[in-house]
Amino acid sequence: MSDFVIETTGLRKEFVSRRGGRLVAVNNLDLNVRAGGVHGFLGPNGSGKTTTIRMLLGLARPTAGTMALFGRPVPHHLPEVMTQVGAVVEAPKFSPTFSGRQNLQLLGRAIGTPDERVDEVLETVSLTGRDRDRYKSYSLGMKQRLAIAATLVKQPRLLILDEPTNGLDPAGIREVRETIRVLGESGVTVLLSSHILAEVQQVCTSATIIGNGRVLASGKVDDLLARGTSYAVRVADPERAVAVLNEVKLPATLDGEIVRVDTDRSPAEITRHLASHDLWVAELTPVRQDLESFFLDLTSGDTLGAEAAKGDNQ
Amino acid sequence: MRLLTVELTRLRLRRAVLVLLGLAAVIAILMFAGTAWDSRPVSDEELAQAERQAAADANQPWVEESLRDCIENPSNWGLPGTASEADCEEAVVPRAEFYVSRQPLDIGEARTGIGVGLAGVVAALLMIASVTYAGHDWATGSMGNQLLFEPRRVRVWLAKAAAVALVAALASAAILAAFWLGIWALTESRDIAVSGDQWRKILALNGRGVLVGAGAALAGYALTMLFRSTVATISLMFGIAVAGNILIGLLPLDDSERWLTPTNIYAVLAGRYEYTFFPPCSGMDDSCDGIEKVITLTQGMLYFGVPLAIVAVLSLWLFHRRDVP
Repeated sequence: MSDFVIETTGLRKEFVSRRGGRLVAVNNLDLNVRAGGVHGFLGPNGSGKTTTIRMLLGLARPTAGTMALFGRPVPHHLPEVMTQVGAVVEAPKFSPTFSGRQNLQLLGRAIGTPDERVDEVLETVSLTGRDRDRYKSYSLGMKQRLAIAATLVKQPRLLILDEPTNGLDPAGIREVRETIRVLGESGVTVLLSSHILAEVQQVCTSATIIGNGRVLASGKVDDLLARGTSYAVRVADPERAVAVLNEVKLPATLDGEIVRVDTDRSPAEITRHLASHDLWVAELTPVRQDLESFFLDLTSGDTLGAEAAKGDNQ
Repeated sequence: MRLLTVELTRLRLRRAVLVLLGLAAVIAILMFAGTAWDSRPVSDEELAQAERQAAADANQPWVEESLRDCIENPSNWGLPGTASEADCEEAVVPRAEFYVSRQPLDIGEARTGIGVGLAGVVAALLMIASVTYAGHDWATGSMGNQLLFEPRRVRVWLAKAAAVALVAALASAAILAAFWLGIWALTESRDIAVSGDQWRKILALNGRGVLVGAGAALAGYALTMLFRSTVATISLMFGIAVAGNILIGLLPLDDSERWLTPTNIYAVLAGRYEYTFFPPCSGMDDSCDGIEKVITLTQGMLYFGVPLAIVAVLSLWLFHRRDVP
């Protein structure tokens, strides 16, 4: 039995454009998500996040590669595992002329969920007072909350949320993030697709960053951030210090009076090389990058998904 | 069964479907009311008025002239050459019934006329109802949401198709039955004798009407699931209704009437469609005479059944294969 709740190997999705060209939306993607916690799925717009999610959920067919949920190959075994998977893909999509309650009841009844469960989840997302109103009368925040309620109807072990805070006001965003955190802590595995880096940094325990439909980095959020650590060094002669460090392949730049060194290597190495040239370190401060800087560094060479995908075909 | 129940509920909750079903019922009521009114018995007052009018006209000079013409040339008046003076008097001299144009209710005519018409109108409305029902899922994007709960697409397609066909069959059965119950009540109240054979034919018409209603709804549903758009399906249906017959007329077919949609609908609903076919002729021999032809029920059923089966299979296969937005 696999340790991973979500597992993709060599996943690829090509779209055929109207002009007959091929666009590669997802390219050889290996995504592994362990059970428990909140896993961020990061990438710029058009990087292939939603397409990957849609393939996992059986809404789109992969061109190549394999996928598994709870160790069961999908889409072949999707009917067996889908009762344990709740998902919101892109914007909430319900019948606008039905009430929120009717929408949830119809979805729940399709899998034999009793209507009482709908009452529970409506209460969970604080929609009880408006549940009999038509969906089209809901605010964007209420629609998003109804979508989250729909995912909870199944009592899932895996939640896949694609940009769940889109369109919410600050209070709504905080509420949804808190709900996601609580779900993650309660043992539900959450795959949170987002391009809001602060959100992922605040909520997720691990993350995968993709660009051009490929995995650029993956791991625990702390480990990812540690990879991007730099140091601020104060010395008497900063210009000479930059030259010394660059000589030994420690990438250093001058930032005013401060020498900035971007490296994963030990800070002791920096001080040793500088001391060997009689440059005595007055102050050395580790500067921890935030996820945003790390993400931008990783994706700075990428053009956005579809554009890049064209190149992939050539 | 669970999915079928869900889809039946979804249909019931769709306001557009309810409006179209209501419209079908209203049309049936109006057609019944029209039939009842147009065939109402002649009142004593109307009869007296007609008799007065006939008596007045009988003294007009043209009556005498017409009578002479009839005696001399009976064929001008649609009579055989051996027609007597009495025959001509009956044909020419004004009588009260000449001034009362209303005919009493003829159940045979009602069956092949308004009965077939009503079944056709109900089927068309049920088809539109099924198009709007299926199109709504695609327009709102809720189809994807439904598949997150039941990913077995073949089951989903079949459950929706069964719901559409079932509701269409029940609705058309109810509407047609109500209409003919009304007609039966009318014949009873007016002491019009109707043979058991006539009622059996009406029952058969309604059975075929139910079948056509369900088939039309299924066709609308399958096409919408294929095109994923209400507008595209309605446009296609409109195109077939308008341009289809024109196109068939332009095709180099000797007997284009055999392939027209309305004639085949009539053949299915009425059980057969009889028409006179005039083959191309030189005018020098008997080949210019018309030939009596028939579109049978089986031919009509094949005309619609084969395309329906093809569209349904294609729709199901593509729904199973294609990415869902």
